[in-house]
Amino acid sequence: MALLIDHQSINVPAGSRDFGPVTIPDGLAQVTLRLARQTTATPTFWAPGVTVDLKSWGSLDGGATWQQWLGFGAPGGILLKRDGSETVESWVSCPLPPGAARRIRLTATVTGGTLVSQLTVEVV
Amino acid sequence: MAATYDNKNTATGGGASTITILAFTVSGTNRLLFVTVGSSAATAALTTSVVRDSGGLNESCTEAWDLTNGGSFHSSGHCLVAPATGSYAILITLAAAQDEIGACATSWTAVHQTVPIGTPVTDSAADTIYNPTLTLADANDDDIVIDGMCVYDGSMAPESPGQTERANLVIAAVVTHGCSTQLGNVAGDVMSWTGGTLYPQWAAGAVAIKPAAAATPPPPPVMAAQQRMG
Repeated sequence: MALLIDHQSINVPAGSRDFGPVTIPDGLAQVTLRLARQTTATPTFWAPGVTVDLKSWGSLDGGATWQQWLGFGAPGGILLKRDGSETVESWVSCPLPPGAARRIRLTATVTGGTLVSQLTVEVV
Repeated sequence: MAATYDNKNTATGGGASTITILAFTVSGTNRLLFVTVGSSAATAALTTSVVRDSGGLNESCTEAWDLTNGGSFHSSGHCLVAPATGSYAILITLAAAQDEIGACATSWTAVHQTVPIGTPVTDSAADTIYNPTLTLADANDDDIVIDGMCVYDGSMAPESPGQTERANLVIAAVVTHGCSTQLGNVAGDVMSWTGGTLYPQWAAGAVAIKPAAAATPPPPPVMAAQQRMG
């Protein structure tokens, strides 16, 4: 397992911000993107009314060419789960194509205010 | 000849209303892309759209089925005839943020390009039946039947003989989105998943993928000669 980005604090005003690119270690096969949500314990994170569209692009040739990879979109505020507990993170995970020169970069597009959160990119 | 499996990719997610499946290569002739989606939340949401290469080619998939069990579980299936060859991501949008989302996109070749799928069947359970089971009556022997289901359990497996698992995505340990296929049978196709013991709640759908029309064979040599003489 490798944490390419480990709970990096981010503060993104309305608009877009890029993260990376970072190199994906060879031999790892699954990537997960995580963004910390507002909870009772993290009241300053990802406020209600703030919407995030997190996209990623991947390269199989060391960054010469890129194609769209995984991503997710979600509204802010406290999101209660089926059992009444609070959702701690929004996340998405996909199998990775094999390769020896893989890189990933991300773009967070924020609307409705400033996104305060923590970003994690994990590969296993 | 039945449609031929080409390629696939999957995605799982949570706390989100959209997820994007990482790009994978589609190739061959008489192509079809089929996307199954399963999700769960306090109130399950239907799928709003499934678009390949959103913002670029904008290839919109057509809904085959889309249902909830009236509670927390949702299943939908979507097809795209003649997707562009190449490698593109697939954006799935749901009507509301979900606790768990799973999606499987499979690509197929040798699929009928004007009548690509048959009539879908759907079913769901909210309190009594543990294992998703669907019976499809309109498949032919050269069809491929594809199903998608979302169930409140983390230990499911395809049950029927000949049923090939395409995805068995366990999300947050307790919700499974499964997709499987099997060769059609005019006597009826049962698509079943087994192993459920946690909660008898699920939603599922299935449909037949139709094969490309067979090319008209050339006449046998004698008949061809007679036709030339006549």
